[in-house]
Amino acid sequence: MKGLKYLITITKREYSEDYIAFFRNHGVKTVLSQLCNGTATESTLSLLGLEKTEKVMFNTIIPEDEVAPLIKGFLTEMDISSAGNGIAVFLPIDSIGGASSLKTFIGEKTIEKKENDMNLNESKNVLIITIVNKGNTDLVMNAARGAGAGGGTVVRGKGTGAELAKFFGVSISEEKEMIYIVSRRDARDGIMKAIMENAGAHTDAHGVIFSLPIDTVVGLKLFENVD
Amino acid sequence: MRKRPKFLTQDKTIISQKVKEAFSSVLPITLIVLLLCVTFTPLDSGLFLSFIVGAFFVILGMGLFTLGADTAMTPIGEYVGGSVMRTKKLWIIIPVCFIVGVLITVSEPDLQVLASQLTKTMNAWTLIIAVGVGVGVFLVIAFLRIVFKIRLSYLLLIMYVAVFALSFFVPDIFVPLAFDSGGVTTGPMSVPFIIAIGTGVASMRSDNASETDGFGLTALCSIGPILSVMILGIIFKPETIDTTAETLISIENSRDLMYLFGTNIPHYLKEVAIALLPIVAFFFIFRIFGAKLSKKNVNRILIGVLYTYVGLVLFLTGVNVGFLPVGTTIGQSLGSLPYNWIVIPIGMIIGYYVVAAEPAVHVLTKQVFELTAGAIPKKALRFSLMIGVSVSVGLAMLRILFDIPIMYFLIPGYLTAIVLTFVVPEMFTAIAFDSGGVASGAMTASFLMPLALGICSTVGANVATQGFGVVAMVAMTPLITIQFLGLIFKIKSRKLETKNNSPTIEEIIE
Repeated sequence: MKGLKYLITITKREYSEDYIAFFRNHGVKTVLSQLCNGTATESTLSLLGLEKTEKVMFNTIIPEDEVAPLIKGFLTEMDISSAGNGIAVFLPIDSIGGASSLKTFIGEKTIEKKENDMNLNESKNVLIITIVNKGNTDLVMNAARGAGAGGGTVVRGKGTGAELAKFFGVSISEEKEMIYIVSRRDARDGIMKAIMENAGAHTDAHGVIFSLPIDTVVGLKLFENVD
Repeated sequence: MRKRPKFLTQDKTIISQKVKEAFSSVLPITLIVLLLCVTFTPLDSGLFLSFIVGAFFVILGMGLFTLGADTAMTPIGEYVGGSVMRTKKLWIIIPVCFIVGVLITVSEPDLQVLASQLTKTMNAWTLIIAVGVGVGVFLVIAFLRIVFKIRLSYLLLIMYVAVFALSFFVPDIFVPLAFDSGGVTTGPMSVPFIIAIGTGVASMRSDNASETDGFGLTALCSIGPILSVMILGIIFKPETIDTTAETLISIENSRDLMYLFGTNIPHYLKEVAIALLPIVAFFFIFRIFGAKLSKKNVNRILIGVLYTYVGLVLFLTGVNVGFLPVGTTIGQSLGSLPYNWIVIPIGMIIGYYVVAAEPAVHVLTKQVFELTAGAIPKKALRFSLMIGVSVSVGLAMLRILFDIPIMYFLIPGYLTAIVLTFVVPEMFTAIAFDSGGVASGAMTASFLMPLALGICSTVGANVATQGFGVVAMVAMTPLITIQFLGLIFKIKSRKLETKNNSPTIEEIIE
């Protein structure tokens, strides 16, 4: 699907309303927000339960011509490049389920289909997603940090598997954690291998891991310096 | 251009956030009391000073308590709830829930206070055990409801019909107290824990009712004590209730003040320790057969327990030493005013702000926010609670002044609440009935109740029939206001739904 991007924005939960207003001002039609947590960085603070980790994740679909204004907005209005303020990643989209879905995402706008879409292998950054059993985020992050990853974001989820365990009327699922890590392409293999080794399918964490190509990333100071 | 959000503070800790939260929830009620003290109800300077110190204790205690609730109480509750359900064995679920319910109730400090008011008619332990069993049985019922998918509305309807039917056999002076006990016994320790058990169960389910069923445990658990106390009332037929207020200690100077707080702290150190003990014990027992937890997580939870402990000790000391006597005194002076109708508007203002200072309210609003992924904002919920409590305190004052029997309010109130359960989304019903127990916590018991008792004593109303019942009213009105919020929510979301009726199958766009 050319001409559309999937935008994931992660920021501190207290900025939620500012970001929702920001998206509205920029004409973003549908914003799906989801509560998540940052991974602990300072071990003492985190042990004392004092570290601020509550974050929010916004999932949006935007037309490609909105990417540049949004990036500018993130940088100037939301000051996203300051450390700890948040991160926004733009991911390619494969297809859309019909015209009404498209209308929900971008309204009456028509999208330009540019043919010069970048080759996936050219993307400089990747989004590594790890799914592990609940309570193993620290394990994953320690492995990832050892291999050069910055921070991560955790979303709590439920694993339903192929067959649902039932107890009378209650269906019982496994509690899972999804960890999002943004990394440079050249650091990807190291980080993924470290996670696979320490929290992979052969361990109690039962980690499964994959990565997605990122078109553009803003925020997260680490990347600004590298480019 | 829109103004930039305040990104200047790059504070990595939540300390400032917690302090701000605690301040903003306790400050309004403190200011109102201070305003009353310099206008209608002059306070002697010693009492005034102890109130100020008490307010500091309350703010500090509140901050620590909410921090502890986040890092310890909620994780432990979720852990226990999830582990129990995951066993998938009824013969484990039933006895474990029963024991959990009994122990957390028996160790609740508020229950001891209730028991002391009835020492003339019955043994304090008879009451404590009876109420504990009441909560235990209802926690089991609440779990079985989730397992067998029984609609909460039906259960609430049946239970409240039973409660009101039983109330006709109970001596009149005992009815307000019985309803109060429902609110009081679900106090600052048990409510956050029970709510967390609910979310723990919700987090491991994948069916669509999982979010709704996360709430409603406290709702059912509040009914247990009402029934227990009523049954005791029928058996013992008490003729009097001990309502003698504690004699106020006069504070002459700063040393007396120090002495007063100093002598009270050890008392609460012990009480809160007793209340926390079973919860910590459950945590360690469940670690044996529950899911594995990393050592770091366990340590973090234990530190959180410490926050909860210190926080609750400070909070209860502040409230009982600083707020309780001031409540009584203000009540007495307001009642003796020639224009004593003024207690109604003043009561409403106090009610509006006092609920924000209730520790369990913070836990509930946060859980609701997280379980609904932010769909129900904290503000909306808190506002509904504040309106609810404001109305209830107003009505309670009306009741005292005009000697209206409590049933005149409770029957129509609960009738409205029950009817609404069949109209609003089930999630709101569950949250609303949970809030009943949440709103009537430590602040209500040690500030609103003394206030009402103080007014009673000067306007010459019967303390047992008119003074008690404040808690019952506070526990009732949120059921209505929060379900109203649900009604608004339902209407608004219906408007938002733009239906696309065209059955045509669309093409996938690549």
